[in-house]
Parts: sequence; C-alpha cells; structure tokens
Amino acid sequence: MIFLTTGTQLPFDRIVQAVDTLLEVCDIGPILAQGLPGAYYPKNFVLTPRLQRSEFESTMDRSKIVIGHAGIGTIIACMERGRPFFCMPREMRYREHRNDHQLATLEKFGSRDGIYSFKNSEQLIDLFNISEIKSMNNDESIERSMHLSKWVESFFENGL
Amino acid sequence: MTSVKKPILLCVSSGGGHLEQMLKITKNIYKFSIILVSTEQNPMPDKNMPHFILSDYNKKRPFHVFLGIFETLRVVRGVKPDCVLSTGAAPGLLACIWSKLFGIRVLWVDSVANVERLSLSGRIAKYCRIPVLSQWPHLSDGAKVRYFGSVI
Repeated sequence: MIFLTTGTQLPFDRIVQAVDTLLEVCDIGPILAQGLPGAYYPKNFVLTPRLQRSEFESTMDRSKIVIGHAGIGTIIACMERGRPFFCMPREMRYREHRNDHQLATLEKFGSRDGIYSFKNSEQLIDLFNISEIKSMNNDESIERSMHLSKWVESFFENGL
Repeated sequence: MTSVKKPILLCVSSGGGHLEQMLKITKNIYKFSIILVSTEQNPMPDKNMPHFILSDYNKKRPFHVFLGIFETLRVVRGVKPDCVLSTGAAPGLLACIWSKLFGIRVLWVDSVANVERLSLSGRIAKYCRIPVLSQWPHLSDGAKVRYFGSVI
C-alpha cells in the first residue's frame, strides 16, 4: 500500500491535491492518507486527521512507498524501516508552515538514497514511473546517533 | 536484596519529529530512569515508559504559552527529576528554564530540522545559559552550542 502522511499540526493542500491527481491517472493500489482537512477536498481518498502511534507504525510497516511532507519524524520512520520516501516540503509562502525549514531539511537530506522530492502532481507521477525506486536506510547514521545518545548520557552523569 | 535506584531523567518534547528524535536519543540511555513528557496524545511505543501529556503551543499562541509556564512548573515540581532533556519546542523550553532555576542539570538538543540556524527556542535556551547541542557541526560555536552527533 501507499502511505500519505502530512503531520498533525497543519493542513497541506498542495500535497493532497497532487496525490489526488496521481490517483486519477495512475493505478497505484490502496492508499492510507493522514492529514488535517484543509481547503482542498480530495475526491479519490479519505483523509484521516490523526493516527494512533501504533496505527502510524503498523501503516509504515505495511507501506511500499511513503509520500509526505519533509518532516523529520517521517524521514526517521522511513530510514528505520527502509522505505522509499517521496516528499514535498512545506513552504512558508503558501502558509504551509511557520518558516521554510523544510526546504533546508530537504537540501541536506535530498541527496540521500531513497528520498525523492516533488513540487507538483506531474513530478509525483514521474516518480512512480522510475524503473528502480531505491529505499532509505540508516547505515550511515547509526554511529552518529549512538554517539549523541552516549554523550547525552555521560553529560547527565558527569557534567560538561 | 537492595535495589539501586537510578536517577530520574525527565524528557520533554513536542510531538511528531521532536518526539521521534527524543525516542531515538533515549533508546540508548540506560543509566537513568526516563520519564517522558510530550504534547503527543498517542500512547508511546514502549508501554512501560511512564509519560505525561502536555498541551501544545508556539509563539503564535501567546496565551497558551502563558498557561504553559504554570503547566511545566507543575510537571517539574511534581516529577522532581535529577536531570532534564528537551528536543524542543516551546513546552520543552519552559520546562528547561524552570529546571535551570531549580538547579537541575539541563540539556537542550536542537531539532535536526534546524539546518540553517538554531530554533528560536534553542536560541532562547542559549541565552538562559542552558547547554545546547546542535545536530549540525556547522552550527556549533564550540562553547555555548556544540555538536556531538545527530539522530539522522
């Protein structure tokens, strides 16, 4: 299945509209869509505003491809499960977020394997036509992540 | 048999990515018993992890921030932690400031989403002399803001 996830803070009409258009022209199988209702009402799927954490995790586990905003939570979830991630950053000029940090996030992570960005429905449709879609992985981050945890633990134990 | 009680680490974070980062950091911390406080309503993946739910707010909701001052005070006074960690955002900052005032050891880990500059909360934490970690080496100044790895 395809999992669309757009965060629980703000609606994200552009991505909902892009996926709606995608469903009109491509058969991509079942989709579960999480998102707050905005001004655009999708015709081809139902938006679920919030998922329980366990539902979010089991949907991630079952999904073949994840589509979402460029949120850190989604990136981490895709990395840990080895999922391809098609993402559209929220932009401040469309009032999709309080600032443009998602553009900056994507600039940093966009070059990693398995993360593909799109800005409209045409680009999203193109992504589904890639012959070999890669998955994200956390190979290169395991060490950095462990280092951070251990530093934090030792800071609390011993101070600076 | 005597059991040695671990010191309490109070972890305060907003939902979504802030919480994901907190869970990643605390997954590898064993020397503390962890109490998680988050604005996310959903139950935690680890059901044994004690947690409380906070209300959510940001600078666009000043009245809620005002209420949050008292809510976070209640949490810090109630839990009586030995140490406090936050990965953001506004509610975590308030909890850190209270804890700092009470002389509790505090650490702010700025979200990895802040690539170009520290978050507003992170900058305020820095001015309150709370030790700050950025998850990007280029944002470290080697003193008030430092880099020791990242969750991604």
